[in-house]
Amino acid sequence: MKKTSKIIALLLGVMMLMTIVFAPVAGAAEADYPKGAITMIVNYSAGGGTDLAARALGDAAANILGTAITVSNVTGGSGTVGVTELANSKGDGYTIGVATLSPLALVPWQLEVTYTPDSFKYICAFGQYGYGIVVAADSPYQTLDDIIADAQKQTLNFGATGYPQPFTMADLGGFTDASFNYVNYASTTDLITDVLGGFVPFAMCDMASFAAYVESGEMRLLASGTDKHWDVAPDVPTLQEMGYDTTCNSYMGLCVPAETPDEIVEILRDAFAKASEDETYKEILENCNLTWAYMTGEEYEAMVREMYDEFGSRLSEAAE
Amino acid sequence: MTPIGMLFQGFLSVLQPINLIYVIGGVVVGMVLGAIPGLTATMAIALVIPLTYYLTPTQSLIMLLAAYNAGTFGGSISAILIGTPGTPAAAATVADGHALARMGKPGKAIKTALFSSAFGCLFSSIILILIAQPIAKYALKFGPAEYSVLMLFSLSIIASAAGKSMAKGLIGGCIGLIFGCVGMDPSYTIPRLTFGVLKLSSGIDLVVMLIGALALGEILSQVESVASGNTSAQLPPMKTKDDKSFTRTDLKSTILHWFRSSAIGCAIGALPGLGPALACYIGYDVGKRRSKHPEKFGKGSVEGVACAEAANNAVCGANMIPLLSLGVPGDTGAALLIGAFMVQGLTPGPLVFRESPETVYNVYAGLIICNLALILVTLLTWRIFTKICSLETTIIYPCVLMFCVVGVFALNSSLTDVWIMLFFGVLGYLLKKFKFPIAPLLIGFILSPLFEKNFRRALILSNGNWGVFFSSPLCWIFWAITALSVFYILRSKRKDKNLTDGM
Repeated sequence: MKKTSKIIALLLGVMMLMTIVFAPVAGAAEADYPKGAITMIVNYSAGGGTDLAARALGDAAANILGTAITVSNVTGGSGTVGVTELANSKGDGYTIGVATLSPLALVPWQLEVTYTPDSFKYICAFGQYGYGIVVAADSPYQTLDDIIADAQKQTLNFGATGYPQPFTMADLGGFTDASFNYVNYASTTDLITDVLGGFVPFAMCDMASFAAYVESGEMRLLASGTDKHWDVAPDVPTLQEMGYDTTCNSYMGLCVPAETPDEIVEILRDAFAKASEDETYKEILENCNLTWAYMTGEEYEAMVREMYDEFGSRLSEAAE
Repeated sequence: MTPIGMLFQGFLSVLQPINLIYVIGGVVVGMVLGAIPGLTATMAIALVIPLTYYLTPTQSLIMLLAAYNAGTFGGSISAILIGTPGTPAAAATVADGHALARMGKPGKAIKTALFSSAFGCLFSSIILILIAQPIAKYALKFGPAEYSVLMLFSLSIIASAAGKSMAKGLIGGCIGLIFGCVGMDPSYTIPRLTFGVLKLSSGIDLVVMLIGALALGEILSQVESVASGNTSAQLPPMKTKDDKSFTRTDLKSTILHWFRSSAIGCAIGALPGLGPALACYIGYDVGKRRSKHPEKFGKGSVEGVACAEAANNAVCGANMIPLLSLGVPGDTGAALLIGAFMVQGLTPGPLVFRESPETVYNVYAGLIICNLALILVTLLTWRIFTKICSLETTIIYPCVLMFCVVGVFALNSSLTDVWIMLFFGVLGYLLKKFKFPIAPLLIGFILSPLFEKNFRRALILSNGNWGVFFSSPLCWIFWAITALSVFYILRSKRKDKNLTDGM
């Protein structure tokens, strides 16, 4: 009995020594990155559209990089908890994270977060959320003009699950002298049931959650809010095509902590640029009703910074 | 595909060996945890949930339902064998069940409880299958105003769960309501009561809170009672004679009770906020009044066990009616199931029938099959349970404590969650210590965000017109039910002071 415990103690001691000896080597090996598995933080819950897309992209990139990419869902705080975790991670290239436009540029104006757009280096944007204006099938509103005409007479409520959708409606109201009141829905499911039940006149909604209802005929799309048509209602024009100069855009992107070495960022950028062309990945995006939209790291960074300033000034305007 | 076809498919998928393993696993875990005094069926769910993150939605849900159902039954095993209800839901089983065991008929008592439980759950599952989808179709008529009044009704249930002191129950309910407010304001997305902790801006996770308040709180008070010299209860005299089977005569005398108690359990389960403990009492009470031998109740009556057990297990299936059709939990166990649905990317509510109908039918099939598994497992293993029921708490609770911490951490890989759980553990312990019932706290916590968001949304959509809460017949119906429920609760409070917490 005593003998066994001595052997175990010896073994443990050897293992500890080995960790001490080899750990710095693993850390210093920047040149032959990646040497081990990469963790990808996803800031939304498992099984959602963003998560599925990120996982598929991660799989494709893992093949290119020749290492495993494991996903860790860190959720909460409107997507900011995961982004905060990313910002606080070690910048060694072994932690990357999904950072969508809203927690990067918008939510920091509403919640106290510890990061800014400067806390990251940007790898790419890999997908786009689509938006649109929908009503229930039995709604009296047949066209967007009906809604605008009504909203010119009296303030009209609309439902949305968060920003930036209300900005687009505010733009539309500004162009047409109509007045819209934003009713916040924390849960997409609630918004769907209230639109179907006729409790909220119309919704400025995201395509991923609502496309199925437009396809089944339970809801009608009156305008696409993005710069593309919805696949399920290809004849419905975008707001811009209707003559209103506004769009509602939000993107999914990948970032690493700002102190990550530039060489590693370049390796990751190349790998994910290739991965975003992967067919399986594109298929999964389409199944989730998300739009394929690749942007380079520089482009995504520029957009985040621009939106960060714009959202900040718009939200402080709205508060006044 | 027709509903019958879908159900058939559901059976086929649940009967796949791998899924069947999860059902049986759920049954075993639920039974063991339910049988341990102090651990409830709700805790069984809370402790199993972290294990289900990596399963398919079907596997996860059928395993949890099996654990819930078996946990509710498991409580009666210890009620019968050691005279201590394993869960509050088995409290009414103690009198007759333990008396039967003392008469040397523990086998008969357990088998009566088993068949009654299985019948109750099967009965309510069938009701669930028949009415959940029609209600879900009608559920789109439920707007924010209707939901608000429905929530108000559910909140009135706090009074019935308040136990001996109404004041303490209401205070507990208010504490729950306040904790439910933590997070983002539902209308203006401004963080409230978060104390600058980013994690709290998405609110307190129900699973974290429940594991803390229920499991950890219980462990802490057990630690105290062990420290002050109270050890676990001792074994009853086990003299197994030939009356260890459930005979045809027993069946004849209980079958009417089964139907009556199951119907009562169903009705209580379908109402948001009411749980199996209340169903058990009412089923027992009504059964006693309707029985031909009311004098035997409490002295070892097979009928008594049947009444209580059919009623409390009928709640398990019926709980799923408001959950699936309206997205409103029937009780704390069902509220945890919401979390399990969400983890799988499904939101329970009217839309689940179209977004993932196969999962719904798998749940139906799972509920039915878990009863068969329950019968099988119990018949094979009930003798072992005399040992499990009397396991030293000094062994059980450290294990459970470890599960609590690991499970909560696994939920979001967040240490903050573990701290929140520890906080609620201490809170749960203090409440217990000062004899505040936990159930109102939980009901308040679960309903608070639901009530608030619908209430405010209704007012915003109606441009601040309070008339919206009286604008539809449905609203009026719920107002009437609320008034009735408050009236009856107050009246029965005066009459009967024995109503314990309705968990």
